[in-house]
Amino acid sequence: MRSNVGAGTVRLELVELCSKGQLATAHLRLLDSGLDAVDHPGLWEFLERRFVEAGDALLAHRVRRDLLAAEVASTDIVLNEARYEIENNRPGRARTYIENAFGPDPGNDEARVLLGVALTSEDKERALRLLEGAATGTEAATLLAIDALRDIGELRRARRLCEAALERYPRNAMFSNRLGWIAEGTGDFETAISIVSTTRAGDIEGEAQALNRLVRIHRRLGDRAATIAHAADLLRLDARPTQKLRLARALGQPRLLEHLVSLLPAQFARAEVTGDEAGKVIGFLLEQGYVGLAVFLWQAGLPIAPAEKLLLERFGFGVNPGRQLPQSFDEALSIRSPDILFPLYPECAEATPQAASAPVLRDSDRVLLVNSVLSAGGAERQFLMVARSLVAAGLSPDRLHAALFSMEGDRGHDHFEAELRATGIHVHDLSREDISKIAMRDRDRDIVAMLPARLSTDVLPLWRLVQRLEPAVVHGWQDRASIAAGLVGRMLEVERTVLSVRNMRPRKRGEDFDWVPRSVYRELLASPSVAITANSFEGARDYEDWLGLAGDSLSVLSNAIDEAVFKPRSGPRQPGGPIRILGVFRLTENKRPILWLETIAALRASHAVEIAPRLVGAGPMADEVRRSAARLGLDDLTIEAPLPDPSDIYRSSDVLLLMSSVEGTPNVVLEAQACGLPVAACQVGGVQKAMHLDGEDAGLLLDADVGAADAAGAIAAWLPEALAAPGKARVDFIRRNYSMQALARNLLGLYGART
Amino acid sequence: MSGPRPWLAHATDPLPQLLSEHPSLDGAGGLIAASQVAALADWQSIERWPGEVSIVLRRIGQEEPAEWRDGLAILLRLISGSRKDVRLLALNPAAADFLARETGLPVAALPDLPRRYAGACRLTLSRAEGPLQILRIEAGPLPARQYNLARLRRMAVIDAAPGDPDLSDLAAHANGVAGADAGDGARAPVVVVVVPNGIGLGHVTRMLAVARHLRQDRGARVVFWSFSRAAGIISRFGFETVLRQTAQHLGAETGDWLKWETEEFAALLRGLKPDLVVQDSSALQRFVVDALARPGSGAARLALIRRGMWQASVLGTEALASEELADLVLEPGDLASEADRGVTRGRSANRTGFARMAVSAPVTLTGRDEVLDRRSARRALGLGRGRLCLVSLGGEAIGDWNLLARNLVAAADRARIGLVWARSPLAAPDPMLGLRPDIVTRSVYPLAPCLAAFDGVVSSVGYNSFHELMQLYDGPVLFVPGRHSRLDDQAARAQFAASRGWATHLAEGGAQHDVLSAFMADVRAARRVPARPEWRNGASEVAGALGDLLGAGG
Repeated sequence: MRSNVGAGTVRLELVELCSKGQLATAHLRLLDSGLDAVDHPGLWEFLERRFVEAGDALLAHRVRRDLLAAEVASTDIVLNEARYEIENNRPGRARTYIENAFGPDPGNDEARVLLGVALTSEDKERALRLLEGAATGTEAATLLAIDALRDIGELRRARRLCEAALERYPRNAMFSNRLGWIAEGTGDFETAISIVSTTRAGDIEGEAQALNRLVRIHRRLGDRAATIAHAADLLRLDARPTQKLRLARALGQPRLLEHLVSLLPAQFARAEVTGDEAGKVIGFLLEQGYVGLAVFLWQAGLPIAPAEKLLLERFGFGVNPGRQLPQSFDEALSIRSPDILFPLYPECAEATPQAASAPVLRDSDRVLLVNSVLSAGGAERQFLMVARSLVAAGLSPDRLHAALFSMEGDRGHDHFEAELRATGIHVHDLSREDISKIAMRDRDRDIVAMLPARLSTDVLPLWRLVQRLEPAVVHGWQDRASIAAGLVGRMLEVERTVLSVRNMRPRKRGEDFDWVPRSVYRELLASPSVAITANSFEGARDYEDWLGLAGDSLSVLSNAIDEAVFKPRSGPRQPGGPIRILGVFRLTENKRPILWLETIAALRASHAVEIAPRLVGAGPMADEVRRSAARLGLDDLTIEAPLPDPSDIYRSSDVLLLMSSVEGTPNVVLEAQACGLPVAACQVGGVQKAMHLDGEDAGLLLDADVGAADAAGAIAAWLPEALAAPGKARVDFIRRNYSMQALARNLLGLYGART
Repeated sequence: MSGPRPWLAHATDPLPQLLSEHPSLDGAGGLIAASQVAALADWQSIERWPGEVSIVLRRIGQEEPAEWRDGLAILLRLISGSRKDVRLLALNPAAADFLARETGLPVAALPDLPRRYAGACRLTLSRAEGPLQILRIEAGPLPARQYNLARLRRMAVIDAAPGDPDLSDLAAHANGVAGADAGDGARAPVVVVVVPNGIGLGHVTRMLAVARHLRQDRGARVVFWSFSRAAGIISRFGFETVLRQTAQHLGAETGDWLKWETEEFAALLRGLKPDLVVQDSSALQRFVVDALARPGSGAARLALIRRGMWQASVLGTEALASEELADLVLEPGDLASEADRGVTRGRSANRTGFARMAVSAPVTLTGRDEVLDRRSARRALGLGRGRLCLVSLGGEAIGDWNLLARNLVAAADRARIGLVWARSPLAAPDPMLGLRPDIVTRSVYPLAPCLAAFDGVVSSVGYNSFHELMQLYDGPVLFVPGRHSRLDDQAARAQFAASRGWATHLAEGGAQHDVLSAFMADVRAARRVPARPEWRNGASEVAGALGDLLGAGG
């Protein structure tokens, strides 16, 4: 029943109730008072401010909603409500409130920023224009703007905004935190480390978070000593289990992760771990695919979130289990996603035997190529070659689609974007797919929800795209895209799925938790509509060995070199001047850039060879490479960022040197030889197969574990003849074995095109 | 600080199973981390531990090289940054040298374990597929988690599959060295007997028979872990008893009950460190196996006493799968074994590579020399003169029990024979019998020594009753097969006895009048049945086989 009393009396009552913390009662009192928002907006705004001050965002939102409905909301109320909607992932509402109150091009700084944030996923260009002025907004709005810019991959803009905000609010750790993330995202690791290191001096939770980030960054940089030191610091802390589990994950220490989980039931029983934290651990384990360990903890009495409980129950792990529950830790460990999801549709496999082979590719069929990114790497270059070779072979660009999980320029994910678009095919940025519009059967939704988080994150946008395009062929490129493409292809019954893995099993490339791709590949290979290729014989055998498959389960899809781009130079190098030794590789640990530098230094010091060293590449070890070059006295070393067209690099060089410890079929070796250059490289992976090794044009194979001095000695002995040779045999070797025509022929065969 | 030394270990690491074998470590009051990973995961416990801390450094096992290398490096960093004095150990001198070189710190070798097995049997452990397995040539691998390494090392020489240096170290350590300090104080063998909650007193009676011989012949301390209500009876025989409740009794969820039962049984094992655990049952119970595999549970051997004569309707051998986990499966002999139609018939020994199988003579609690003469028996039971017939139908379900009782009473009345109704000491008072004041009941355990008091016996055909009557009694016997038991084929026993002229039997659904009248006429005539088998001391044979297991070591 409403009581009609004076506004002053009600205001006093509201003050008293709020001061006692009885916020909900205060709200009810106002509703019951009969003093509505139309006639008494001040009273309602007063209450909204009190709710905001008390931190009750939901009650504040309810009051604002009434004010907005009554069309009496003040500027602050509109801005507060827009901010609330943005924070709760409802940018459309925020946009409506702001545009209604301020128009499409607000003069109010705060409103401009919030409208820009609200528009980021809908109209990027307009959003960027509006966010230009974010540096003058409030702290909260600026933070929102920074996050919005990060979300859409505008890291450099976000960084500028962050740096400006830090000048205004130097004590706000949220800005420095964000600056650290952004620096890491753009490859500025030194800045990231510096910022994260300064945030260590907080509470245990903050310190653990910072240490986890430092471990991750240093591991990425290949700085083992720093990684170890920070990991030890974190383990020494009395940090939450989830922080230590994340550490174990980041370190590639699965046994440590398992051990930490095994401790939890006793820790929970001793109240050393809260129920909230226990729930987070279970959530983390499910994200990582450790379904059995999550069930183990649940069985041990640790609390679990309702949604996760329901999901596990739907997979038979409930009170009345439909499947055998783990009876021991061993058994729990063996129950993992995606293993438990396979076979995906056993009922279908029994009911309808699969066709012995997939149908022929029709002239109107679409082909969808999928890769994770287009950064400056050999695999990405070959992805481009796939598109080029298919178009050159006569496949209409209109039928060809390429999808990338990210094309963020500031992260270097767009290195080949222009070239890919130049082929005329359709290019899709999967991060822009609206996954809220996915149509999915309940069973499929459960399957995707039960996938490890990284995989389900990839599967969802790709699912949406495949649903829209309905391609006859989905071709996944490299492991990440292959397993997502394979699963989507299988679940959406795409006629043919081709998965092109690269050169060696994931574990050899530093992927410690490799059961996910292994499980997916094994499941997919059982289907006649799925073909898996590797880019070298050695790579195919390595994958077969890893997957426990018979030989020839994987076919070889060799790399291709574009002869129009990598043209041979004219004749051998003319004598005189320094020998221009070239290295083209990503600056990461397995490319051994420091060994490369040491070999150059040894060649110069011990063999009196006049050299002009040149490195082309980027990567997490860039700073370390510069420091090492200075230490070794290689002051004349030039380090250049990767170029979209690298053919010029080879033509202005005399010899290519590659010291990698891990390689598949290295593109640079093929490209250099296509240009007629002699190549010296360590004998790892498919290097030997990729090199011309006969006669005077022969390349030099170095031992896989060669040291700098020995390498320099061998190179010094080999160089004179190699440099004097005409180079034609190298060029012919590449044209014979790595042509675009051969690549297109193989691809079309895999796609089921008529010959 | 006293008591067993606690350890930090990965849940799947078998090393802690061996640590309690070390006389110098067990009970020394320090903290042991069984591996570098265990130390990393629980470094806070190491820092907080008030006493001595040892970390057993392990060579590489199934980890990736980088994982192993980094784990060790992080541990060294933790140690160097700590004020805690940590002793580093390795599983053998070679491993200690290797790890000392890797760490740059002194690493001592754990003391050698004394060799416990010197025979020819070998087994191979492998972690190539993930969990630790025991590889077998003729059958699939066995999950090793069901075994305690301390027990395995008493059963065979342990080898490790190639490519796992840590497992090789573990296997070598488990095998021990001849002449190493055993540290064993002289003590009587300790045997834990697990008795399930069977129908009647069958399991308890059989195990009491065996336990008496273990105590008498081997000087063993025997402790009963009993789910039977017969704890009082067991105590009367002078044995320690731990009375347990089944999940059904408690109304508990089976999974929860299993966890608690495992914990409780493991606690008993930790305290007693028995030499042998024996279960009399159709199958080993999971809590027994799980608790035995726990670190600290000691090295007890495991035997299953499992009688034959299962009903033919019990198909498949799944129920027998747990036998594989025992060291010895003993089948108490059955006089009617020729009529055995169940799955256990002819089940061969050595099918797992570990479990031997043996069949003894029939086991009875009462020996020939314990049987009383008629006068003493009647005195002991407080019975007077006249023809008396014992009715001992135990807890068995027998078709229409009321009809049978009425017919029995009528037939006995017609033949002027008094009926003495045997009542199980565990049974609740029967109100129906109370309605007839002329009905005599006796609740005596064991009743077999007093069988001579009776001129005839009507009995169910459970294992114990059957063998007591057929070996220790020469009067007329009428068998009434019970059908309560899921497994026991009483009908086959009864038919077999009838076919041999040892007894008559009342087939289910058959006409009772004539059979009862003929039987009562035999009782009236005090007829003797001299052709029954001679008594053999199966309990002594079983105790002997178990005793051999106590001292087994190849």
